[in-house]
Amino acid sequence: MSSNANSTTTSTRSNEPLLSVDGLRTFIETEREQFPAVDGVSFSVDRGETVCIVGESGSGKSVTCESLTGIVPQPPARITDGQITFDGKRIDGASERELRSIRGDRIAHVFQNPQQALDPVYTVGDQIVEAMTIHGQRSGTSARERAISLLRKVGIPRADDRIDEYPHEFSGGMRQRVAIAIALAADPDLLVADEPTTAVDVTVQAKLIELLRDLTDDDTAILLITHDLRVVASLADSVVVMYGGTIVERGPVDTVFSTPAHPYTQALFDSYDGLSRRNDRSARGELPSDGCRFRAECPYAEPACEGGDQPDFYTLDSDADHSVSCVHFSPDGDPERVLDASTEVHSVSEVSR
Amino acid sequence: MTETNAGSPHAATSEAESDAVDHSSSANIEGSPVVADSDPLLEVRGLEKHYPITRGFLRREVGRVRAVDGIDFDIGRGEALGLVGESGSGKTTAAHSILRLEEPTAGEIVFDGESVTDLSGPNLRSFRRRAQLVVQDPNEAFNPRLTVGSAVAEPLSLHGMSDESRRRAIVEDVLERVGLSGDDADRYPHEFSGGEKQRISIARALVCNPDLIVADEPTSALDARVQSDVLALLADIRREHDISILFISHDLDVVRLFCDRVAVMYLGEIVEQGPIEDVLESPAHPYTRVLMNSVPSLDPSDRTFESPLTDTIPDPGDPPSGCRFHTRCPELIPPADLAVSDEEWQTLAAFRFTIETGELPSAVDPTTVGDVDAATVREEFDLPTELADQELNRRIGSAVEAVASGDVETAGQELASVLPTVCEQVVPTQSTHRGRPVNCHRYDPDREAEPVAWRGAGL
Repeated sequence: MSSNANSTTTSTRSNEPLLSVDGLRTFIETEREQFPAVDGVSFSVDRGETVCIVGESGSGKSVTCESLTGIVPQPPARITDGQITFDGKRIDGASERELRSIRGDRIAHVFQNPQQALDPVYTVGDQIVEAMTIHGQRSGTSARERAISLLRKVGIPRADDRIDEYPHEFSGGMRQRVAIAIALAADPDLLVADEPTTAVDVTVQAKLIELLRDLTDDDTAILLITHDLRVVASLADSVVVMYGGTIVERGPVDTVFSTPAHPYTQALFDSYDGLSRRNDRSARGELPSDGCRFRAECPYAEPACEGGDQPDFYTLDSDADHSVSCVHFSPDGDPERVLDASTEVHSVSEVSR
Repeated sequence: MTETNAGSPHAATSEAESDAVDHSSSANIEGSPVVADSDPLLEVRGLEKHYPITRGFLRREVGRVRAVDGIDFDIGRGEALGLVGESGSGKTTAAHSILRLEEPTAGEIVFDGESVTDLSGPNLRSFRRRAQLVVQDPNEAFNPRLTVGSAVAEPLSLHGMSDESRRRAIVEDVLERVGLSGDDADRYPHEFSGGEKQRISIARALVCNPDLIVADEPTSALDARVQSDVLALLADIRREHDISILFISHDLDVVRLFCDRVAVMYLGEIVEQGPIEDVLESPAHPYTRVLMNSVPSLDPSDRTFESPLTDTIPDPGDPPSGCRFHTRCPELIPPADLAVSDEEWQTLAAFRFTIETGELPSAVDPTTVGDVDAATVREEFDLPTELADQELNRRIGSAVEAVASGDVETAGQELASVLPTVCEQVVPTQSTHRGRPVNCHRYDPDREAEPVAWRGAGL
């Protein structure tokens, strides 16, 4: 972890999160319109912690993560608001040069499709070494040795032969491992992984999950984006659920999975439970841009859900770290109305049969 | 025939009826009453699809990739059969061969009582109208320059319906049935979301009033809830029109939610098939169990995976002898005279097959690491230091030494001779477990090995 994480500073750091995001807002502008793809998102990631952002396409989960280090293409995107603090330092509004020193070096990205990260005309070894030298680490023989050890670390057999092979000579799962090895080249403190296991077989996925788990043992923090609740259950310490550009629920994985509170989170669990055909309007409809974004589909929607900012976050009685942005959980609301219906259907034991 | 039947069942009730009459009359001619069980819509027998590996100027055949290597299954009318397995198991090749998009190497495909293996010309076209394909990536399924309406109507024109206004009426109707609106016919594919595009693919499959839909990973590219919507739509359509579905997927969750039965494929063969609840409740074949154990539990307190012996999927061009799964099988059968515990056997077998695949863990790889000592090898493979059987002990020891000295080949030979298994020697015949076919020696009553109890959780 280079000079950044020496032991003298560990004690002061243990209290403050590695990454904290406060009120992030990113607009996407097209010729016809502009809309907030991320609309006031706040969360934090501790050192060595795995935080999963769950949501579907259009929820803003990827744009959120790409806004952190400014890799979201601007335009069409425009980051208008929010504080991003990384390792005690504000990085929102940082210059491209400053961001470049963080990107890859301290915060590394892994994408769903490793093809995006790998250059077909260079050997994987060259690409790992390149990642190291760009970030001012070693070069020459020692870089090659370290590249081999990284390939070993991500579980690639015969690493010293395979380092001279090209990406197309690797299987899909192995390619994703190579992408992870490149991301790890500069010993990042935070790995941001966007659906890294979505395109692979279950057996390969299991291996990748174990690999990511081993990384957090080395104190690397992981911010993982996924739509797959099973992947979340197998990896996350904390969960952030996004819908329509907003966070609707967040908390420790155990309590979110045992007591999914937001009606949207409940709907996500429902999709593992049986086939339910939403009415076609709600499946296709435009999202509201104020109040609770989920209200058009919500079985518990009422007039209070409309207008203004998204509902405040209310803490659940069962766990002070578990909070939900839903008017039914306000002091005047009746959370049981939402929770009762869910406990019958969504208890973990039943869902996982 | 093509002309009169080419209508949506919804828009053209009379055609749908005459179609139904056709079905029952053909069944009656063969003298069989219309009972779903005795009269499957699709029967696949011994289907093979091999690809030659050729070399040189003369393209001499030097080998064959046995993508599909003798599979049998039936699909009843209105039934949904899931075909699952890892990539490379041959699922998609099987589907394409059944639709005659690729010519099968051998085997027979009987559709609605008639062999389709030798169909050609108008008969083949008529078969293809009745058996439709929906593919995984809706983005690749459409010509971006064609309106949705023309894309959906294309099969109608191909199958000879020339009346444009009639085509339009059918297209609008079928779009509405998949949850879109008739006006959407004038829009272009890029204006739709992934889920909507997949609905349009389904509409295009439905427009010819098929009896069978082959859906190849139809929802893999979609989010959980959109996936659930599309599956629910397919389920409705299946019920309404009694359409049979061959559902190809690597996702056991969607197969669990959608299918009546499931067949599990590994390296071109079906290893187990049966009703979906039975298979997921008590999977019999060790490969099915490995697949299920790889699916993360929805319970965050249960985070263990049980791994196969080795991770390497063998080359389908050179599949393992005997049972093709034996190189990865956690339930590999030990030789009868070997005095080791089950745990010891598993460890030894994992050692043997990891050596054989050549994918040595880095810590003991002599080509990467300068000096490997025997202790490191034992530690890396978790090998027991002292086995009760002295002879076995000695020979494992010499294999360990061989690995340490970099002579992987000798180690492999030594291990193969001291740790033989029936699973590599004999191809398993089909046995029956709880009334369903399983290809595994452990279920063969003529073998001494007993089935291992399933202790895993369901999905």
